[in-house]
Amino acid sequence: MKRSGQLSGPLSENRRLLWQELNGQRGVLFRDLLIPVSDGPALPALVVYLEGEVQMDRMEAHLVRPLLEGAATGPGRSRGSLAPDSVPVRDLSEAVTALFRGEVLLQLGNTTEVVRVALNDPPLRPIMPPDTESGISGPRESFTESLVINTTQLRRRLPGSDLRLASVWIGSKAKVESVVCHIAGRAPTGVIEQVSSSLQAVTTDGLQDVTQLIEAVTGGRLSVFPRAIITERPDVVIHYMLSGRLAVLLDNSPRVAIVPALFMDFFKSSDDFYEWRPFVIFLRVLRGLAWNVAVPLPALYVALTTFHIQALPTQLAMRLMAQRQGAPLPAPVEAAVMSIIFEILREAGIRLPRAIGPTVSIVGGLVIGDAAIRSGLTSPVMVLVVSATAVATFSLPSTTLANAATYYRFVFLALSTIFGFFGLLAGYLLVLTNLAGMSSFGMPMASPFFPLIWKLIPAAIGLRARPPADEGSHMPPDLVWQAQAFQERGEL
Amino acid sequence: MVRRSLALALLLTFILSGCWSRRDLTEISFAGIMGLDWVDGQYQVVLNIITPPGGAESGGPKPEGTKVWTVSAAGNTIDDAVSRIDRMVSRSLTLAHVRSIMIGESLARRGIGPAMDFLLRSVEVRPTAWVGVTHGPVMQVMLLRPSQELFPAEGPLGHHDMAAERSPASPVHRLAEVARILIEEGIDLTLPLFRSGDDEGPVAMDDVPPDPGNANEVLFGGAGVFRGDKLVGWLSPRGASGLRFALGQVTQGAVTAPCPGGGHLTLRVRGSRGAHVLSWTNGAYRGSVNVQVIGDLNDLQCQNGPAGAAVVDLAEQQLATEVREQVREALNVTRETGSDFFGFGQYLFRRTPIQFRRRAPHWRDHLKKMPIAVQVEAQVPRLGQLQPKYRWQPDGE
Repeated sequence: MKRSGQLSGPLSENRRLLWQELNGQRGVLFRDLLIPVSDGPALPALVVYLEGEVQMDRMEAHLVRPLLEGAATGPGRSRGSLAPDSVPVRDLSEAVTALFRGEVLLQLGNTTEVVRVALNDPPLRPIMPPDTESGISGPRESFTESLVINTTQLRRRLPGSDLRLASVWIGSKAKVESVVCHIAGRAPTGVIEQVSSSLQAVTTDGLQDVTQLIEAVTGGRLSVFPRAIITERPDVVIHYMLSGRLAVLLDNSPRVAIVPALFMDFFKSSDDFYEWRPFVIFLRVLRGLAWNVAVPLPALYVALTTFHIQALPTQLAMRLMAQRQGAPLPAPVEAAVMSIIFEILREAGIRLPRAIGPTVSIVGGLVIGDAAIRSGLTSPVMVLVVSATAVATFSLPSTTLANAATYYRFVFLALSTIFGFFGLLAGYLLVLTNLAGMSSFGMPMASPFFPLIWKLIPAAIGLRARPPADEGSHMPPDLVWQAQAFQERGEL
Repeated sequence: MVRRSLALALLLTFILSGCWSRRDLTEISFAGIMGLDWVDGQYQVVLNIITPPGGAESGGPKPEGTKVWTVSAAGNTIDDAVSRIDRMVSRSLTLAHVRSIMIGESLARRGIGPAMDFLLRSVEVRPTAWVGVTHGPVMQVMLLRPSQELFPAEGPLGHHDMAAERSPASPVHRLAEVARILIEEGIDLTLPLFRSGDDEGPVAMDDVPPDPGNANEVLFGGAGVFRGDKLVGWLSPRGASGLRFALGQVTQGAVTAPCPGGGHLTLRVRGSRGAHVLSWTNGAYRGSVNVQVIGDLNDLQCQNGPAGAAVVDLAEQQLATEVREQVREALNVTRETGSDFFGFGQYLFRRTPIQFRRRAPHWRDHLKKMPIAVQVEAQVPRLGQLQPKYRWQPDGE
């Protein structure tokens, strides 16, 4: 018995189903063909395609002309000779999705099978240098919006059968293909299963970027800490997959999510994989310091200058006092206003065209800052605090982590304005508690510091060597090690 | 339950401070030095309040721009006097940055116990503040403006700790340490002595004699000697140095000693160890002070002095002799005043508290008569001189 929505009937029936489904859609063309047959009456055929998406010359050369010349109807011929890529399709919605992706639907009158033929050639962005993850060392390629190109880039870097790719279709209205990649034997089995099941459980109308996908998987939470590493560099993805992580690609997304993500991963930059290791450790310590400057510095300044003056060294207190003489705004208001102005400047710099963006930064940072000091509206030390905070935020390799720092900065500023240093400290403890309880696809995010696993500490701070490159290495990848440790403790 | 309790404890920290305790930097008057004295039957409190110059555009305080306002008030209690000053200054007065506490001679002679009690219980005064005693009224020293201090309100004790590191001639005490000595049994207090540059001082100020040219400077050297919480005498700079050698507190500083044949030599101390013990011999306590000192020969100006390895023997001998004399000078003050600032009583108390308590009423009298031996062992490992090879030779020799 034929189910509704199935393209498994004769040509006229399928034509009716498609016509009903696509009725009123602009640009959908139904083309009827009569294919001459040497020993009988002409064979009817139906070609359905979307105007403008299909390259007409390719369709004529690889589909229409071979049909009219009897290529598909002669003895020993199959649909494979029609076009380089033709796949049977039975589901009506799948056929419609393929049609709107630019593929051509074809049915010959003597069969009940509809095939989709990939003759589209959508305009694609070429592989460009990374925009947001510029580094000094390493390859200069980034992902594009094409899933095919992105998976090709990964395969080129990891030739062989160990790279496993699994497709998941997501979205009810706008179906989009997502691909989960891992290296066989590297990623823990439990994590692979959890990621796959999480993606299959996503219910959404449609997704445009991989960050939306991660948000859909891990949504409904208060914490702003990112749960996945988002990168636009294929080499970074390979490095993480070698250490046991999984990569989640999404069609139309130029960025790739790496899961599970540990908190310490957000302090790694792409250069870390190529630079001299002792220097990398130094850089990671610097980034840790930058995080601890970017989040609490304005709040700490407000707490010290308005609540706990006795905690300041005398000389510093006197200097700050001299700086703040005549400042019209209270320190907390001054800190909030300056921080908000900085965030506005940052936002303006991002939104404006590249040619104007730096100008805004210069005008904002230098001219406005200098004018604010000269007019006495703010104190020089406040400009210093906000600037130091901004520079520390920019030094964080992960933009999602920088966003989290900005969010917590304002929360802590409010806490220290009302409750002083105790408020700041309690807020910090609450954030740490929250971080300690968070997990990313089954792995505790604060690992290996909480729960504490001593043998993983060197790897976390970068003391251990790069991820092993060969299969026979005695050293398991980072994530497998972590997973084993948690399995031993019964926590995974 | 445990989690809830911990969460509640965490949330309770919010109420430890709040909007109600907020004070902006621009609304505060900082006192850098606090002076305490006893004048006309009342406490006198003197504060050096710092007034930074300019506004936000000034780019920070300049040494010449920073002003110090010396303000004083009298009251029946210290807090009463502080409250009067608080009413005199337009901004909220804070004692949180008082780095030095100067005690006038008359209050020191009357007793510093109640004052120390107030300061220790104050939530603002830091227990790390330096404490010193002045020769004469405290106001004399508080009005001085030392030329080398960036913020005059920090001086004269502002950099006393660093200066005391370089010179052994003055004891160094912080508020918490002063309180500890005051409440401990068997030990008395000494506080560093401060005076103006043209003041002759209460005892022989052999290290820095008075000079009218130094009238604006604050000099330190020597110490005030207390019995209980009352000032009873003074230690000269040499005596204070001897005390610090005996307590093993000298880690640097210069010691100059005479040479047998004329001239002097100066040694730089690199470290010292000191121990004072009591022994029960022939039915009486005998004290002994043992000092080990190590120093380098820095300057040799001896006439007809020895050469080569004999210089080391001479330097060690003279260093030991000089330190021994200094310790004896301090011991003489102990015998004169009965102040046990060496802590012989504490030594006895820690070993046999019952014995000490039995003798406590007469301990100071006993101390005055107790024989105390001084043994000093000096080492000069580094000669630092190139004699006789480069010694100047007269023409014709």
